[in-house]
Amino acid sequence: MIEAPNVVVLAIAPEISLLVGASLVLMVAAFLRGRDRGIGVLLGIAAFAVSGGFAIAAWGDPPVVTVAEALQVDQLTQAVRILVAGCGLLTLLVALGWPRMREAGAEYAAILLFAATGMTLIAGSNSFLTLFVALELFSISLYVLCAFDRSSKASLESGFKYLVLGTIGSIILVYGAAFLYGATGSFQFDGVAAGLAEAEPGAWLVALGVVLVLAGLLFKIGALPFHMWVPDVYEGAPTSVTGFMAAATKIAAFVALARVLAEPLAPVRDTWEPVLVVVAVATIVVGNVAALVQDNVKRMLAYSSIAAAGFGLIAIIVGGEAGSRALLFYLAAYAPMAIGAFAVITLHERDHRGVTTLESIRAWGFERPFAGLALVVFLLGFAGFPLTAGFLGKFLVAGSAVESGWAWLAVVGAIGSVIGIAYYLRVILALYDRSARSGVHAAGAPGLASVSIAIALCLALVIAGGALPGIGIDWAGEAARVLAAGR
Amino acid sequence: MGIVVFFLAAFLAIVSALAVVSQKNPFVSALGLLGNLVSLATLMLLLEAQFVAAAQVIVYAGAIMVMFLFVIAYVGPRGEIGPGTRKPWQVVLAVVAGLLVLIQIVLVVWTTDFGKPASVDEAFGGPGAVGQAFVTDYLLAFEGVSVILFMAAVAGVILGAGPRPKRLTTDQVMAKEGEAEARRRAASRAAIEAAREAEPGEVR
Repeated sequence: MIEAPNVVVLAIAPEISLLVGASLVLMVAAFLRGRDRGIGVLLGIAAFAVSGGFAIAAWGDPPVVTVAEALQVDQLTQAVRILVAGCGLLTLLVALGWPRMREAGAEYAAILLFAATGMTLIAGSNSFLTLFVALELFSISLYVLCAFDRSSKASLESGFKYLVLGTIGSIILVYGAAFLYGATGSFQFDGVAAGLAEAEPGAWLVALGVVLVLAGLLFKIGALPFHMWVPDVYEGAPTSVTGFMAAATKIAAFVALARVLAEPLAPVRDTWEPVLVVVAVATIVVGNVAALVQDNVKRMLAYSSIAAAGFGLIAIIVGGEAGSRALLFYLAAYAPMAIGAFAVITLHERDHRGVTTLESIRAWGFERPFAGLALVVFLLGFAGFPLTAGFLGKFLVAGSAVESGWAWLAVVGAIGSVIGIAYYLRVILALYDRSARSGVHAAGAPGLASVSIAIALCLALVIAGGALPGIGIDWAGEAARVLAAGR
Repeated sequence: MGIVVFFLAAFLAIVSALAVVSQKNPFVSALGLLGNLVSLATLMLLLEAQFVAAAQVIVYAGAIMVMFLFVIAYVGPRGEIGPGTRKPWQVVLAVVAGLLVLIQIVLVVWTTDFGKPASVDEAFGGPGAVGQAFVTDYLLAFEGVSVILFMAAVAGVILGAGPRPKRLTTDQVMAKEGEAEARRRAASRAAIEAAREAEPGEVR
C-alpha cells in the first residue's frame, strides 16, 4: 500500500489558484475564436488577485512544511507570493495596452500565470529538486513570453537568446546540485546542510557543488559574469514582459538565492562569501558604467537592473536579520519602479511607433505630462532619491552593510548609485528638453486607461514606500526573520 | 561477467561519443549518439537502474533520436559542416573547456571516498519503486514537471502556429469572381475595339 504524502491544501492555495486561473483562461480562450481576447487578461488579473488574497489572508500563520517536505510555506514564501501576484496583476494591466492582446491576450495571461507559479514555488522550495523544477517552470514560461511578439524579429531573437543562455544556467545549477547530492546524499535543504556541516573543509566535491549552484542562480539574477543575456533579452522582449522580468524574476531568484545560502549552504559560508563579494562589486561597476553609454532607453534600464542586482547582492552577503530585511524591502521597492518605468516606455512606444531612444523621447514629457512625471519619479527612485521607496531600499542595504562590517561594500554601492544619477538624468533632461519639439503626438487609444492605472498604482506604491516607511519595513522584517533563523 | 559487460559498454560509449563529435555527416553523428545512448542504458542496467535504462532506450533512443533524424532529413545533406565554418578560437575554447571538465572529473573522483556502497533492496530501480517515488517523496516535482509540459505544449501552439489564413466569406468570393469577370469582359471589348479601329472595313 502506498502512503499518500501529507499535503496541506490551504497552504498551497495561492499556487493552486494561479494554476486554476491559467487553465480557466485557456478554456475560455477556446470559446473566443476570432473575438477580442482581452477578457482572458481580465480573468488572469482575477487569478492573481485571488492568489495574492490567499497569501495575505495566511500572513502570520505558523510555518508549514508540506507536499512530502518539498515546500516550506513560511512568512518569506507568503511575502514572495504577495509580491509576485502584485507584479503579475500590474503587468497584465500594462499588457492590456498592447494591441496584440486583442488576438492573444488569453494565452499571454495563461503563460504569465504559469511563470508566477514557478516563482512562488521557488521561493518556498525546501529541496534542490523543487528549486530546479520551479526554476524551469518560470524560466521556460519567460522564454515564451519574450518571443511572444512573433511579428518582431527582435522579440524572437530575444526569446531564442534567453532560451539558449538560460538553459545553460539551468544546466549549471543541476550540475552543482548533483555534486552536492554526491557530497551529502540528500536533495533536501536540511539534509544538505547537515551533510555539509560534517564534510571535511575544502573538499573538491563540496566546493564544485557550491560554486555551480551559485553560478546557476546568479545567472537568473543577471549578475556578472552571467549578465550578457540581460541587455539583449530586455531590449527585444515585449516591454510589459521586460517589466515583469525586471521585477518578479529578480524577487524570485534573489529570495531563492537567499534561502539556499541561509539554509543548505550556511555551513560553507567561507566558500561562497568571497565569490559573492567579487561578483557583487563587478556587477555594480560594470552595470553602472555600461548603462552610461546606452542611447536605447530599454537597454539602459537593462544595465541599470544589472547594477541593481549587484546592490541586492550586498544585502545577501550581509545576511542575518538586518541584511535579509534590507534585501526584501529593496526588492519590493524595486518592483513597482521597474514595472512602472517599463509601462511608461510601453506608452511611448505606442505614441512613437518605434524603439524608445534618448532622441525619440525628447520633449515627450510635455506631450504626456502624467506619464512623463511618473517616469521621472521611477528614475529618481532607481537612483535612490529621498522620498521614494528606492531611497529607503538602498539606505537599508547600505546601513545593514555598515553595521556588520561591510562598510567598503556600501561605499562601492554608493559610488555606483552616484554614477547611476548621471544616466537617469540624461533621460530626464531629454524628456523635458525645451529646445526640441516632440515629433510624437499623443493620442487616445484602446487600453490606454489600463496602462495609466498601472502607472498610477506603481507611482502610489513608490511614493508610499518612501513616505510611510514603517509598514514596509515591518513587513519585510517579519518575512526576513525566516532567513535569519536559518543561520 | 558483469565486469566484461561493463568494459564493453564503456568502450562502446566512448567510441560512439567520439563518433558524434568527429563525423562530418550529421546522419552518422546521430547514429553515433544512438549507440552512445544504448551503451549508457547498458551501464545503467549494471547499476540496478532497470527503469532508467528502459526509459533511456524508449524515450531517448526511440522518440528523441527519431525526431533528430527527421530534422536532419528535412534539412538535408546541406547540413554537413564544412571545414571553413569553424573558427580557430572556437576550437581552442572547446578543447580548453573539455580539458577543464576532464581535470575536474578526475580530481573529484580521485579525492572522493566511495567506500560506502548504498544498500538497495530487491525492488530498487524497478518501475514500481520509481512510480511510487513519483507519487510520494517527489510528488511536488512530479506535478511541477507535468505543469511544465502542459505549459510547453500551450507555448508550442502559440509560437508555432502561423498567422491565421484569412477565410473569405461567400459574398467576398462572389464579389472577387464578379470583378474578374468584369475585367475579362472589359479586356475583350477593348480587343474588339482595337480590331475594329485597325481594319474598319472588314469587320463590318
